[in-house]
Amino acid sequence: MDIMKQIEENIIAGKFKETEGLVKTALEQGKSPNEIITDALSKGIDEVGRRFKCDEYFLPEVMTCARAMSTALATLKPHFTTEKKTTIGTFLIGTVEGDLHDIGKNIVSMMMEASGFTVYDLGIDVKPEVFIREIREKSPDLVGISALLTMTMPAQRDTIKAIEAAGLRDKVKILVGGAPIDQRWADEIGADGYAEDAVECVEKSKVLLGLGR
Amino acid sequence: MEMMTSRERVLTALDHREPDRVPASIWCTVDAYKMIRKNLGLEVKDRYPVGSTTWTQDVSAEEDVVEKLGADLIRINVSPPGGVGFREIEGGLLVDEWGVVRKRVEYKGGSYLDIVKYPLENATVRDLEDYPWPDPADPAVTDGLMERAQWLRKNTPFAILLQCGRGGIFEQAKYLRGYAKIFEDFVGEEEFIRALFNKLLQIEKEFNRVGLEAAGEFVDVVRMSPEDLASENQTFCSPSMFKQIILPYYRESFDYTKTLFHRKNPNGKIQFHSCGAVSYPFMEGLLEAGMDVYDACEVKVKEESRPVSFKQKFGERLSFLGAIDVQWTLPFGKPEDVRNEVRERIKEMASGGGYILSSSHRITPDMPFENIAAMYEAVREFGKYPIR
Repeated sequence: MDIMKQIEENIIAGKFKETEGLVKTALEQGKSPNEIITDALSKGIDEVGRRFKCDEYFLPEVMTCARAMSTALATLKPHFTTEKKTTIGTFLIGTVEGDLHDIGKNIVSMMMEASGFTVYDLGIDVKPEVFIREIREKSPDLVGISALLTMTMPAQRDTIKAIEAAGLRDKVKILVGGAPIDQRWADEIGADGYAEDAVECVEKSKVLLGLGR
Repeated sequence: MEMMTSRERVLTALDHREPDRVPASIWCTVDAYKMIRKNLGLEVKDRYPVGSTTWTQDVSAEEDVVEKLGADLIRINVSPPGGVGFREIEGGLLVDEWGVVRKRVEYKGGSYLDIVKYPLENATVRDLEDYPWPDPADPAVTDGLMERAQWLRKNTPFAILLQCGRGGIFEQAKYLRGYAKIFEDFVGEEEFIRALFNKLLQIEKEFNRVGLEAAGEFVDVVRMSPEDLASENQTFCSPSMFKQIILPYYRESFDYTKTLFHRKNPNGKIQFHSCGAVSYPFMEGLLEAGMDVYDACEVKVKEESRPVSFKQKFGERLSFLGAIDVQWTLPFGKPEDVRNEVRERIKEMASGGGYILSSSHRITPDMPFENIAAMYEAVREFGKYPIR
């Protein structure tokens, strides 16, 4: 089987112990890191997303696929020194101040990266001023703000207000997400979009940037 | 219909018959409990005993609050070994009786606890033997429990729920192993998962045994350790994985607990909690394993798993507790929104009995007291049978 197909299927099967070897083989065969992302990893993770959406895959499967995916991306990373990474947009993401939850956010980061975005993950418990500093520094197209608790949801609004006050609101599209979040809340606090899960975050990000689906 | 006592109301509902009105219950965090007491004009202490699990910081509401709110079911619980729950270590970190390390996280208007160290993240099967597990035989676990239960039965009209367990099986495994790691284990480390679940099952059974031996004869409902099986959209694993890997441990836990319980109270019910969009195959499995009551009936989940769907599908065999939304209505809605939701939920859930109204998860301190009061007022107003 073609090495690219093998990597794609490795991601779908979540066999993360074999991922590094396969990616190295592809590099040895002269595949470029960008090709590996576009022609193998993206296809694999798209299929994982599809299976997750229609209840063929559940968290145990998705977590092992995610681990295979991050292994592949880590293996490719040193090879981007000579070749510039092709990107369809820049995405900055963090969990709001006062909230330490990150599993969902990490899956979103990983899916966005696998789908061709350049991702800057600010981690958890991110203060509004850190979002602002990083927006100034990285000039992202999109900002993702995550909150997992009703108690920390108001910090999403505070973060958006702070971005506005800093005069940066029209420079970025803002997506919000997290367990208690819905479209109504996203509208109320003036976000540009709400994504229910990582797959939807990729879709909505593309729509917001006018890239179609 | 003649007015019933609170206990008659609850027992009739749990027997799938219509009482005089829909019974109500309360479940809250300690900070919310203080806020509620203050608003009811009751004395507020600095500290309250640890409730269902150490980390959730909830509290078993006392009889004065239950009475003033007009609820019908009162909760008592087994206590942590040593009686304390958390021990503080360097850096202000808190360690619970399971060895899980948490940090107090401040947000605007309060704080909550979150895990910073999963003690079994890198453990092997062998490590489980030497691990310092909590000891259900510690006398503090049931200290005062029998006296409390007996007193409540004699001096109050309420039905009594005993919160057993102190952590659970799948739930506690997540906290010990880590959320990300445990899901990977399901695919690659089944032997470890089974060894861990088995250890946790033995501990759960022991907590339930000592609790029931102390207070079983005065208790109407036993609530097992809460277990979360789903997010809002999906269960945490496939139905087949649930049936093969998780359910056998619940079945043994339910069987064991129910057998002991029925020796003390032949009509006693087993209550089980999960958040999220638990699916029909999971519910079927839990029912077959012996679940009688399901809480807390989260509202903002996919359609198949909403309280009304479960009522239609399982209502003849299963009672429900909860179902008043804690994600939007109680924290952000107006009292009028709460009234409307209570009215709607009663119409959906209460016919034929089998429903105890409560918040769809713990009441937290960010919920305005007016909304909480409105919930209990509305159940009196709209909950009279026959439901119109």
